[in-house]
Amino acid sequence: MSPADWFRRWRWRHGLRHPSYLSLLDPAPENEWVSVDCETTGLNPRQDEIISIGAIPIRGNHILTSQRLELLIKPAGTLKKENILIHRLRHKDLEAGMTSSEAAERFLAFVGNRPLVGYYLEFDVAMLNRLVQPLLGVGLPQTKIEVSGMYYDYKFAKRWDSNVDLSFEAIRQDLELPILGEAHDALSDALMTALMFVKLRRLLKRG
Amino acid sequence: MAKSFNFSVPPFDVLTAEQQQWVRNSVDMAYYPEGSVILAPNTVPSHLFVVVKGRVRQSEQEEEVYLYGQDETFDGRALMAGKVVGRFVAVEEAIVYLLPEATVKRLIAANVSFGALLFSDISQKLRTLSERRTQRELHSLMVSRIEQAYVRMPVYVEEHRSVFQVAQMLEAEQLNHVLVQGSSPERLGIFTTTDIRKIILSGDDPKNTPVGRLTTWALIDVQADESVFEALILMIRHGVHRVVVKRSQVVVGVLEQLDLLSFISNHSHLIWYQIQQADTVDELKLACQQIQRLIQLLSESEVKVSLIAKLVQELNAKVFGRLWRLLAPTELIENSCVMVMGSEGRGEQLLKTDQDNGLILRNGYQHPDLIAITSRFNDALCEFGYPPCPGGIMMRNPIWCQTLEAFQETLRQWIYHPTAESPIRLAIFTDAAAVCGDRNLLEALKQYFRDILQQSPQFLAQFARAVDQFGGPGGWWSRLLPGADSPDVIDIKKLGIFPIVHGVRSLALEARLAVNGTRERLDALEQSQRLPHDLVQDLHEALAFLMDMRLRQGLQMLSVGQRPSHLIHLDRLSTLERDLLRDSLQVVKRFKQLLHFHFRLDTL
Repeated sequence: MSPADWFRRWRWRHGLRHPSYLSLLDPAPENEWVSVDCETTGLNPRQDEIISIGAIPIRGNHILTSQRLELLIKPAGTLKKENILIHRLRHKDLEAGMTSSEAAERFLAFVGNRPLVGYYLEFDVAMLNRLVQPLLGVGLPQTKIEVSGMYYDYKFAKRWDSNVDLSFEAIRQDLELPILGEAHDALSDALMTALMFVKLRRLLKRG
Repeated sequence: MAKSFNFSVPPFDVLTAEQQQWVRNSVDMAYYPEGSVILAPNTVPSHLFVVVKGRVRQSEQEEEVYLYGQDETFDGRALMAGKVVGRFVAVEEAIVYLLPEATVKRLIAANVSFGALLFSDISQKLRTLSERRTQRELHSLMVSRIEQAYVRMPVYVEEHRSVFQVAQMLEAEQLNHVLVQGSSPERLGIFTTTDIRKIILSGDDPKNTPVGRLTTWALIDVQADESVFEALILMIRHGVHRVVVKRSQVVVGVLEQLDLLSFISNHSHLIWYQIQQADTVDELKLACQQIQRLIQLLSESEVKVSLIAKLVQELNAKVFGRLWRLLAPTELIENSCVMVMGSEGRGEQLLKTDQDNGLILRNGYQHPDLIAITSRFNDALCEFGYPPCPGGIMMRNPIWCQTLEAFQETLRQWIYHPTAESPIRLAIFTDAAAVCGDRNLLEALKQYFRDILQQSPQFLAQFARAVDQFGGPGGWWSRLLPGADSPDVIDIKKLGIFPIVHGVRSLALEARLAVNGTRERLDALEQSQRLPHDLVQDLHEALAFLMDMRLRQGLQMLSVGQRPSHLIHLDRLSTLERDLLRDSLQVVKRFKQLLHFHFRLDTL
């Protein structure tokens, strides 16, 4: 462990609200990851809110969709009467949604010490950090793996002067992956990301 | 995954919404790079695999058994047996769904069709398909409107008429019901012939009993533009045989259950009548055109192909017979026998392909205009839409128009001094059936043929060998998958139908069977224990499937103005059809192996 890492962990432990979450710092298991995607009310991590989280465990080349996590979160403040009267589904959605503190608890228990995998993960992590902050006192400590970064490394290794298109769709097409589910659905996006991850891991290992 | 799992392909297309949820909740996915082993021999499988993308090869003893592509499922049998038999390797990078054993077992327990589709041998698979066809039949009923069926004009009587008077009227007008008009316009009922029984049982005097007393006043009515299916449901629900058809508030007629059922049945008796009544070649031609239309109708209503074939054979035989009577003088008819051969003789000709016909003359009989008459016969058939036989197997060709003696000598020559054409000629003759004239002539010729064959057993092996004619290596499996490199077209006749027909024909000759059809021959071969029951069943099913596929394809080509061919475009088949095609061809392969062994073809 580098001194910088050590310092980061020390600071994290220092800020932690409750010692029961110390296990999040345990060494990550071999060969296991969690692919994560969030849907939000907007693109500003400071103001907008998470409305759904999709998370799928990955073990080796297996994507464990049967053990998936799907959370719907009641956004604070959109509970307007006229909206409910117009969109009855909306009402149902909101009824099914949980509070953000409950979601934070469920999410942390689900992910544990496993590394997070995502596409443009920085944004999701920023949103998730805001969600878990009240509970943890600190942000998510897990290792984060960015698939677009893996893809860039893979393309760069093949042709160092290549102009790499890092859009989600471009990566999917280049990796020849099938489209599964609907776009902008947290679980479907998490699944596509997981597929990119297993394939890229293989491609990078092969060199 | 949850939302993306494809429930529209077999075996998953038979699941209920609840059962689909079981799948969604338990399915995982996996990525297999090219070359990785998915299932190894003698391991215990824990999942059923469904290919999302890529190709997986199943091999046994280093030999490819099958190549799985998109939406295909493996390996149900291994999962149930608890042991993998072959080796499953991703020959192309594969993404698969993994459905755990527990879910699969739960689905099988809850859904019989799912289980059947998953493991069944070919017969069962085909049966499952035909059940679904029945559903489709219901579907086509649903879209036909009541006014398209035969709706009878309403006949009214007033309610104070006596039962006796009404019964007289029913008898005179050949009716089995009348509508009874009550005192007010809204009061409407029905009196049927079955109601007459009531008066006899009651002992009342029919002449003094008003019909109104025995009338059923609660009428079931439907709107004319509603579906036929709706009417059928109403009849079943209310236990009635008639419904009143209305257009808005006006009664337009009565729909009887019998008429409803005959609506979907065929119009064959009309064509039959037309053929019989034809007095000129032109009239006969008109009747002939109806046959094509009938096949189309029957095929659309999903009638079994073997039934269609039987009917068409009878109608065609009638056409040939009628035509011969119109063209040939009585004396010639009495001294000859018109025979049809090949698929027409076997009763397996569905669409008019080539005409294969011949004429056997009584020994010593001659007719000065024979050539002109036979030519006219063949030309007329061409005009009717039976194209000339490219191999010249037509009665205007002197080889196919000989006296019995001369014919016998010709057959002997074909057997003992064969030329390139003789095997196919003999094969076609084997299936000959008489359509007009003295049938004994053909019977005598066939008897002679069977007798001389007994004296040359080695000939049968040579004859049977033709099953390999279009053989080629076993590489056609891969063509049953979409996107393979090879052309996506296969010749269903050469690969499937011909080997079955010819193999069965060879065995039938050996067994000296007098029956013509492939089905009848198969049954006879099973009865005399020359073929095992299982294989016979599989061959029946495979042949029916292949012929059905050929018919549908042929009709489709005719509908766009093309000549029907035997080429099947694999990319236009559904996954289930591809599955069944593959299974049918596998049966053909098994049968060919049996023939090789039986006739010792490999030693020739």
